[in-house]
Amino acid sequence: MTSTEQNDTFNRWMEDHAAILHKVARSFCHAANDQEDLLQEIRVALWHGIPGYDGRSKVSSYIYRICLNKAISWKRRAQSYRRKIDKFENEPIAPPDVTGSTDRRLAIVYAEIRRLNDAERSLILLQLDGFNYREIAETLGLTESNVGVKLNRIRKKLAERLKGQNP
Amino acid sequence: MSLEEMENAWERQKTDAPESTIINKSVGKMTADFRRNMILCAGMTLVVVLAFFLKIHKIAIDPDRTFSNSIWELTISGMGIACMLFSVTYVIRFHRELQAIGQDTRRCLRLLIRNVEEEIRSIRRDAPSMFLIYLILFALAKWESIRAGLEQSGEWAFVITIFGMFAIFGAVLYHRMKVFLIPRCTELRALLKEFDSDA
Repeated sequence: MTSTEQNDTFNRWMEDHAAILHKVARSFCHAANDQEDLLQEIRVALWHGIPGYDGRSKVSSYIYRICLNKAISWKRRAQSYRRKIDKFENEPIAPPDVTGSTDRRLAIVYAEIRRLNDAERSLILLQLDGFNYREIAETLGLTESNVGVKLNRIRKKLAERLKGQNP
Repeated sequence: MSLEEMENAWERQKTDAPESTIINKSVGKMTADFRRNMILCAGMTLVVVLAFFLKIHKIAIDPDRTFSNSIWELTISGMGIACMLFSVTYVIRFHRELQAIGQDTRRCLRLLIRNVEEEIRSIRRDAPSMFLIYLILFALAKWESIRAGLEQSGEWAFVITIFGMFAIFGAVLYHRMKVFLIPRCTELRALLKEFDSDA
């Protein structure tokens, strides 16, 4: 693949699937600066990952795979530096500047997703974006039955936590 | 708030904002810079290796050479080789990490863990043995100079300085391992275990 082809593919993927990047970044980081850092890292990883796409899976599923893998590895690195700071930070459920019930509801959803661990977060993100069990299993390297079991558990946990939240 | 409301809120979120082409161009530029740096690194490696072998050749054809003055002469280029070996290892690990990103998450995690474990192993085992070899060579060279009457037995300042430099470098590596690498490895293993549970 030539560099021009790679650039064209990258621009096309960004045009069609930019939302995935933003959703993953927002699900893994609370602070806007962190989200921007992660987004930049994901974009670079995605650019490098273009030649590795074999066309067997959907583009969106491949992009999700790269985004989640990058977010998981990036977070590990960032966590080491921020571990001490994090002890003193209490993340608000919804930022105070959020207006409108839909935005506030979405802020709550993201905050609850961020409270899950990385494995649970990856699973629920894929499900919320409409991927079926088989696609989720392929993206994460799990079995379909395992995906089903885990998702049931995560949904129960989320339902429990969301019960007390009023947007 | 119910799960249905959560799913509705998720579906209704604004997702039509396209990525800025300026950002996309900056990614292209960044990756082009990366390639340029890789070529530069490869060039430097070639120069350092050539310099090292030229030195060895010069030493080999000089009949008046002793072990001690050969060691001093090889020190700088030898350290250059060591630095380059470290850089090459890091580049290989970085490249492996980039390749791992395109795999499924469990496989990616396994590759990341392997990378971190390799780095920990090289800090625990390879770096100390390399430092030890250098120190033994320096000490032998010094001992030979003293025996030949070229230097006084009390002039160990240079060897002690080198030992101090190695100790500082070793401490930096040890700190990196303790503070960043071991916790990262533990976290990655925990996450893999989380994915593997009920598998």
